[in-house]
Amino acid sequence: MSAATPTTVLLQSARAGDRAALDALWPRLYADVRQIAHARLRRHRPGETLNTTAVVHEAYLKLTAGETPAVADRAHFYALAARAVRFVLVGYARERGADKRGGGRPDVPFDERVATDGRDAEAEAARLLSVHDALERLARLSPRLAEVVELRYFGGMEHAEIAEVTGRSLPTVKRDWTRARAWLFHAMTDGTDGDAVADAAGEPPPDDSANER
Amino acid sequence: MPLLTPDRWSEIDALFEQALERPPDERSAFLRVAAGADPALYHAVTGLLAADARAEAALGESATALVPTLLRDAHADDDLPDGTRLGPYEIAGRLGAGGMGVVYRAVRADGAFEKAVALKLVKRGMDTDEVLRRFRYERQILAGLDHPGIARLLDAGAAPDGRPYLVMEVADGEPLTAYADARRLGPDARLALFERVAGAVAYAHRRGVVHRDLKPSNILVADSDDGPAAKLLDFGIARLLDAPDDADAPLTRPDVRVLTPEYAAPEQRAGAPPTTATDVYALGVLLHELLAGARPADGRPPSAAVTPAAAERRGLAPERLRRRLRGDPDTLVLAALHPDPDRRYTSAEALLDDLWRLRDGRPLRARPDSTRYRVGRFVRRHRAGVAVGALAAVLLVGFVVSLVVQQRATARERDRAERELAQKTEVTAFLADLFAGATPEEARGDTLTAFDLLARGADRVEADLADQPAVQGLLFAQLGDIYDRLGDTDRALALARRSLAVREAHFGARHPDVAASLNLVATVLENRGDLDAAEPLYRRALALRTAALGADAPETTESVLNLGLLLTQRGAYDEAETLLLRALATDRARHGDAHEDVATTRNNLAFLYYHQGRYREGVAHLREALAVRRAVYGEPHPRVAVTLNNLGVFERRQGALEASEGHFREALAMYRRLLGEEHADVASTLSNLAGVVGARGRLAEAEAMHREALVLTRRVHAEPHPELADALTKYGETLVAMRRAADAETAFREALAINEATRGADNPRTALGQCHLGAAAVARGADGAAEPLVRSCLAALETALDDDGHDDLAQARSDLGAVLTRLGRATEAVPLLTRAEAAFRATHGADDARTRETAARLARARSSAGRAG
Repeated sequence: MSAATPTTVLLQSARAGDRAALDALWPRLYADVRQIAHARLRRHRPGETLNTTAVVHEAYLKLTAGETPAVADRAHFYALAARAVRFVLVGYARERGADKRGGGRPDVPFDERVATDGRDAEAEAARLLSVHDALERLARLSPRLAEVVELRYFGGMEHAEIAEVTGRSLPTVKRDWTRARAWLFHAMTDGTDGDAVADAAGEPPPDDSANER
Repeated sequence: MPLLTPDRWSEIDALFEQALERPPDERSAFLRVAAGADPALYHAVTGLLAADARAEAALGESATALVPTLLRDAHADDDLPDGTRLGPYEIAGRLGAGGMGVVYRAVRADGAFEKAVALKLVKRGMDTDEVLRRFRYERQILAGLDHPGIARLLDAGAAPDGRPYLVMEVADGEPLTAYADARRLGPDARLALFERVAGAVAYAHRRGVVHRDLKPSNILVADSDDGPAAKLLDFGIARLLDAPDDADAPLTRPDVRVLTPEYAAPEQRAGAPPTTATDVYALGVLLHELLAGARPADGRPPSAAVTPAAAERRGLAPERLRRRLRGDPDTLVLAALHPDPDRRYTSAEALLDDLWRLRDGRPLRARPDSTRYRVGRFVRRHRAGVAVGALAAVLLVGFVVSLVVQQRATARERDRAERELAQKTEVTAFLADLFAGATPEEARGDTLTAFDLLARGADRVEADLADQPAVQGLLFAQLGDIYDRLGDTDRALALARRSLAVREAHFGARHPDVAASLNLVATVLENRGDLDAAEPLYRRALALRTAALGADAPETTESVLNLGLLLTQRGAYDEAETLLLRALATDRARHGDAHEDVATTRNNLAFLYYHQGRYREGVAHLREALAVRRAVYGEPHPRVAVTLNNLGVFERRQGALEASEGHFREALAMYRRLLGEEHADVASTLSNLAGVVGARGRLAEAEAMHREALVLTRRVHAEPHPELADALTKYGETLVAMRRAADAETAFREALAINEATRGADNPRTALGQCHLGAAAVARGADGAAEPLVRSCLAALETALDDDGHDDLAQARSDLGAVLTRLGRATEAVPLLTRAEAAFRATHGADDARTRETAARLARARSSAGRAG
C-alpha cells in the first residue's frame, strides 16, 4: 500500500481485514485527527472543551476529499476516527508525563466529581489514562461494549449515529452505553473500593517475587 | 473487573442488564432471587448498580468534559512567539522540536554578541524530575566538549516558569557535501576534510558522548585561514530531545523524533539505542557519499558507485576516480559500514586511525572478516567483564560483591607484584620477552594483545620460571585471576591450584602468599558454584592471614568479606552479618566514610539484608554507597549503575515503585551508555524495569520491555541461565496482571525448569516457582488447582527461609488464604492471613499495599467464616 493509495480503497481493504491497509490508513488518520484537534484547541477559549464530533467530521472530509466511500466503509471510518481521538487524548495525557509519575490505575485515587476548576492538568491526565486503561480491560471482556464507549465517549457520536454505524437498535445502543459506563467506572474504582466484583473475580497475583538481581 | 473470565463476565453482565430494566427499588429483591445460591454474583451485580448510580456524574457523556485543563494545556507549549525574552536572549524563530524539547533561534537582546544562537528549551509538561536530571547531566557533558570542530555550549539558564534551557553556538557555512561539491574537491582533499570531522567525533567519543544524528546538514564547513573548517552541530542534542526508554507503541507516540534513515545504522533503525558504533556507521555513509557522490547501496564499495557526474564534481575522469578509490579507501568505508556493529570500527577513534594510515600509505587495520575481527568481538563482549568484573557480578546475582573483593585482591597483588618486579630482574626480563614477541600493531594496547599474551604467558610461566617459584606462584595467581574474570573457570582453577602448590612447596603452609592462593582457589570455586568446596578454603585463608598479618590487615579484611559473602549465599546469615559488620568497621577506621572500600562493604551488607528481607537497613547502606560512588567515580560508571540498580531492587521490594522505576531507568541508561546494548547488565536491568513498570499498571509498556529483555537475555547468556529464569518469572507476573494466564503459565514453567537445573530444587527462588504457577491458576479462575501449588510453595519456602517474617513467606500465606476463602474454607484461611498481615505490617507498616491487601483478605475471610459459623 503506497502512501498514495486512496483512502476509500484503504478503508475497503481494512474493513475486509487487510492488516497492511489498516497500517497504511491509521497513521494518516491519527496524524490528521491530532492536527485537527490541535488546531481547534488553539482557537478555543479556556473553559471550552474539544468538540470531538467536529474533529471526526473534519478528519473525514479531509481524508476522503473527492471520494465517496460506501456506507459500511464510512461506518468503519468513524470507528477508526473515534479510536484516533482516543489515542490523541491519551497522547496528550502521556505528554503531561502523568504515567511517568504514577498515573494510571493503581496509584490514582479516583473521586467522582467532574471538577473543572482547581484541578491541574496532571490529575486530569492521570484520570484519562485511568479511563483508557479500564477501557482496555473492558475490551478484552466485551469488545462490543468497548466499541460503544469509543464511539460515544471519544468519538462524540450520538446514540442514533452509533445505532446507524453499528447496525444495532437505538434501545440496545442506549442500554449498552449505560452498562459499559458502569463497568468502566467500576473498573476504575475497584482498586480503592475493593468491593464485590473484585471479590467474586479473584485476587491479584503474588506481588513481587524474589526475582530481582 | 480484574481476573474475570469471559464466561463469568457474561453471566454478571446479563444479570446486570436485567436488573437495570427494573425500577431501582425492585432491583435488590430481583437479584436475590436471580442470583440464587451464588452470593458472589449478587455482590458483583450490586457493585455494578452502585457504579452505575455514580458513573454518569463521574464520567459524563464525553471524555473531553473530563479533561478540560489537560486540553487547554495540550497546545500551551506551542512556539514561543518571536521577541519573547528568556534571560538575555530574544526568540527569533523556531529551528526544530522533539519529544522533550523545542529548539529556537535566538539573539542576545543586550547586544553582548551579535551572532544568533540556538536555544533549547524543555517542553512544558516534560519538566519532570527525571527529565530535568537528565537535562542537567547533558548540560554537564556538553559543557565539557571544547573542540574547534564542535559547536559549543555557550550558556544555560531557566525560563520564568523554571524550565531550563541551553544555548548553543550556531555555526555558519555549507553542509559538508555541498561545500566539497561546490569547490570540486578531489578525493584527497575530501579525505582531509573528512579527517577533521572524524577527529571531532573521536574527541566526543573519548568523552563518552555520542552524536546520534550525523548527516551533512549537521556538519557545516566554512573557509578559514587554515583551509576549510568543519563544525558539528547538535552534539548530543538528539539525545536531549529524544524521550529515551520509551517503549510505547508508535501508534500512540507518532511524534517521537524520527531519525534520519539514510544515515542510521541497521541496529539503530531496528530500535537499538545509539552507541559509538552507530556514529561510526553514519560517518561511513558520509564518507561514501563524500567520495563517490552517492549513498551506499547493497554493500557495494564506493568505487563501484562512481557516476560520470560525480567524477566530474571531483575534477577527475570516472575511471581515474574509481581507481583511486579501489583498495584501501573501499576497505575503510566498508569497514565503517559493516551491518554488524561488532565488526565495525568500534569508535571514531579507530576509524580516524585508519584514515591516518590511509593518508600515510601504511597498511590499514581494517581487514573485513578476518580472525582478528572475530576474536575482537569475543574480547569486546567480555571487555566490560575484564575491566570492571561484571562477569563476576553476573555470577553473584547482580551485586558487584565478590568482584570488588577480587579487584581489591588484584590491586594488592599488583602492588606487591610491582615491589617484587623491582627486585627481580628475571621477571622484568620475562615480561619484556613476552611483549617482544608481539607485533608493534598488537602492542598498541589492543585488548586482543592482552588476550593472546595470556595464553602464551601461561605456557611460558610453567616452562621458563621453574627455578623462580616465588615469581612463578605470583604469575600463576595473576593469570588465574584474569581467566576467572574472562569466565574461563577451568583454566582459572588449574592456574590457581598451580599457584597454591608452587607457593606451598616454596614457602611452607603458613605464608601469607599461600593464603592469597587459597583465597583465589576459593573464589574460582565459588564462581563455579561449588560453595561446599570454597568455604573451608576461605576459612583457612582467613585463619592464616589473621595469624600472619594481624586482624586489621587489609588482606585479613578481604578474607573476612569473602567468607561473609559466601556465608550469605549459603544462608548462614548470623555469622555472615557479624563478619560483614566487622569488615565495615575496619574499613571505616582505615579510610573514613568516603571510600570505595566502605561503599563496597555497604553494598555487601545490603546484599545480606536483601536475603533476610531487611530492606530498610539495606536501603540505608545502599544510599550511602551511592553517594560515595557518585563522588568517587563521577557519572556514568558501572559501579554507580549497579548501585542504582540495587537500590531499585530494594525499593521495589519496599513498595516504593516510583522511586524504584526511576533508579532502574537511570541505571539502564548508564549501562547502555557504557556497555552498548548487548550486555548481561543491560538485559537484567531492563527486566527489572519491566517488572516495576508492570507492577505500576502500565502493562502494555511493561510487556514490550519484557520481550526485549528476554530476547537480550537469551542472546547474552549461552546456556540456560538463572538470569533467564528471573526474566521469565517477571514476564509471567506481568502476564498474570494482563490476565493472560496461559502465557504466564508457559513462562513460569520454563523459569521453573531453568531454576531446577541451575539453582537446584532447594533454592528459595526455585520454590517460588510453585507460587507463581498458583498465581497463574488463580488468573484463569482455577482456585482448586491453585491451592496445592501455593501450599507446596509455602512448605518449600518454610524450609528454605529461616526468617518467618520474610516477605515471600507472608505473600504465600496471604495468597493461600485468599484461595481458601474463595474455596469456602475461610476458617482455614484466617490463621494464615493473620500471620501474613502481621508480618507485612511489621516489615512495611500499615499503609503498605501488601499490608492493606492482606488486611482486606483477612476481613473477607473473617466475615465468611462468621457467616458460615
